[in-house]
Amino acid sequence: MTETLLELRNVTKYYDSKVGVENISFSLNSGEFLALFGPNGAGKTTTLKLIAGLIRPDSGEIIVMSRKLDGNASEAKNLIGYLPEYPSLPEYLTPEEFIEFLAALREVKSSEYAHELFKALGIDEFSNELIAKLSKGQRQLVAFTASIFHRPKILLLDEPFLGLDIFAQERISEILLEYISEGNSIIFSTHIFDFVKRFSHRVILISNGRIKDIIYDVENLNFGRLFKKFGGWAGCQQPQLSEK
Amino acid sequence: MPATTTLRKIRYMTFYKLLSHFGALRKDKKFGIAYFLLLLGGFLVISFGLSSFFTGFLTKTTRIETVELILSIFFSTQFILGMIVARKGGISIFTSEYHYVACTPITPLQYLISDTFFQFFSSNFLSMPVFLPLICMVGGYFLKLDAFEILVMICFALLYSIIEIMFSQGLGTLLSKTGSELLTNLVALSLVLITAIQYPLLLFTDLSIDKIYTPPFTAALTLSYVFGKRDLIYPPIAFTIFVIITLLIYWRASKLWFFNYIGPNYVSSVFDVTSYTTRLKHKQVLYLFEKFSKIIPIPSTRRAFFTLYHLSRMIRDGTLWVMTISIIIFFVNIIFVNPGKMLGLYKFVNLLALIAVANMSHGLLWIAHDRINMWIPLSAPNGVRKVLGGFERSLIILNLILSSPYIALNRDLLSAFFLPSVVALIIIPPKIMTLLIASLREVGKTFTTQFIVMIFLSLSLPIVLIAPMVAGSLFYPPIDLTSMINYLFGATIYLGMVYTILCLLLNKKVSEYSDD
Repeated sequence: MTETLLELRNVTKYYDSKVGVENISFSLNSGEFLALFGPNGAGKTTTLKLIAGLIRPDSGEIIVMSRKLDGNASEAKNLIGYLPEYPSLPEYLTPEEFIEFLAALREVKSSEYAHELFKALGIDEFSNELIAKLSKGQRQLVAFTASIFHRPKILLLDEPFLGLDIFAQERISEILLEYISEGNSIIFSTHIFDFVKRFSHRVILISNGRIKDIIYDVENLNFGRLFKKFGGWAGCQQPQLSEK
Repeated sequence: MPATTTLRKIRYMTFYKLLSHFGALRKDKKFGIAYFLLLLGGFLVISFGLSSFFTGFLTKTTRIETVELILSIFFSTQFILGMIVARKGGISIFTSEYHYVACTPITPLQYLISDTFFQFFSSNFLSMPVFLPLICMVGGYFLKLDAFEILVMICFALLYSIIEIMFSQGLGTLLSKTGSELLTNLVALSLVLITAIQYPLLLFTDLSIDKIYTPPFTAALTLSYVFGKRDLIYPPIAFTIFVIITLLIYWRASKLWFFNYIGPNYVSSVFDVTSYTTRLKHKQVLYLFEKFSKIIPIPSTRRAFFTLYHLSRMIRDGTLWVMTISIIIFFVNIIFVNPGKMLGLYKFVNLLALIAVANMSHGLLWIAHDRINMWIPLSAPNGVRKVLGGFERSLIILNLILSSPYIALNRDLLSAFFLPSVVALIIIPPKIMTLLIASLREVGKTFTTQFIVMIFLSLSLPIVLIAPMVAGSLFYPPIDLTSMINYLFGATIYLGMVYTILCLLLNKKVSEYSDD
């Protein structure tokens, strides 16, 4: 049975007087792969940050499995995993130590799944090296593990394939498909159209901080149609966001 | 939540912060050595600064007052640093924490406690080795305290340090919540000013130590009261009120989810120049640069552009403020505290040391700050020369502004030596920076041994250069005028020779790497 895991109700966030997102409302069902698609600066990252609890909406509500998400909602936060667009990792910890640290904060008793992920992603070989010594792709894999190791119900991925080779992309794709099959849900933001088409059950088109359209018929989606929905090149102009 | 879970989270969070801050030491042993050397350099600079500062007071105070004064300086320094941190929210947040800790179920109180521990260890790492022996010495020598009493004194100093950090965290968080930069700066800087102005007030008015009711002084007086050296009741009461206020605002801050108000405040590891941190710093420098260019219209010359860029960066990374405050303290010392002593030689040495250390720090911070972008000047025709030119000009402007009061005050023989010395101090850093840049062939990689050695040399060079003068100044006042003038000539010749040789050597090396 489909269960609503997440609901955003009229969420608005401004950066100073400029729009981050405005009046965004959507819900996420269990087992759903939801894509946020839009031009640079459209509000995708802001939406993900709001759901992850990193920033607070100026108005509106975010409900995670019937629990209202505010800054200090411990239970709700453990249901969410978040991979930032440019993850900043602790340079002088090893991947092993980093996961152990996050496990302590998230009160995860067993890090068995983390080790499974390490193995599946090929990180186990360097899990005891300092993160500072890892390559960009290896760091992205560590960041991905850190976002999913506690088996959250909702996984937020902001450009998850950034800096990864095609083999790593494929391994992550497999993990994500398995993860979805267990009844968990994913919201991801990407600029790669092929991934949107391959994985998504639903696509939310965002532009200038507002939802422009929601596409259910992803199978028949093509780039030309999508491009038109944004109003061609004119619609792809970025809003000027200022981030402190 | 069970207490064990809470304690576990606090323990992990504290260690995480410490590892993030001192992490480079794990990477390689040479980082440990370099860090130790940096601490040693810092120790020398602080000790030297303090010794010159104290000389003015010792003649005016009694023994108990001297101890209280020394303690109050220790407490005031911490208080001022705390207020500076409070301007940025009072809490140290690493960028990785913002990405990963903020979305975990850690409570604000758990995070705050961890940060208190972290700040306690990291901020006292350098200051404690300087102050604790000082406290022991003055306690034992002036007050004839026994070992147990000295231990109590040290514990009190450490306890004050924690209270002060909690005050800074609480105040910083609550101010950040208001969202008003003006209010935050106004409150924090007013408290800094009130704390700093106590010392000139003590010197130039009839105000006595026991009449000052600021946290640092009441803390020092409370300690005297505890030892039965003073029969004062109001300072301990005032200090107790300060502690209660601190606990209240700390408790209030622990109820706020501060990640929403305070972003990563760029606390990075020692020697760490990650691209993310650099990118954020750059954004702020450019923002400042833009503001400047609106006030001062930049002529469309390349020279003006690079000069202004360096000046903006110096303001942004804080070195300019530290330098300005040091110079102000220095001139207050010159004009009011010990105007007749050493006929200017001591001051001459002091000011040169300040300028030398500041110039080298400007250079080092620039390299640390811009290192990841060094491929731009390295790959552009004459790129290094253009950027270094801007750096040199910004140093000239700064040095001239900061040293002009000295020349105005001392229209004598010393001033004649002063300007050439300053010019030499301006010339040296860009030369060393050129060598450093030239050594950065593997741009963006972690620091090499060569780089660390250069860092140490750059920091210690000014100290080495002025060492004979410092040594001479330590023996004052029993130097008569003739021997002092002889010494002055000798020292100037020594400085001139060292500089000349160094410049020649550096020029030779620089030409090997020169991209002209």
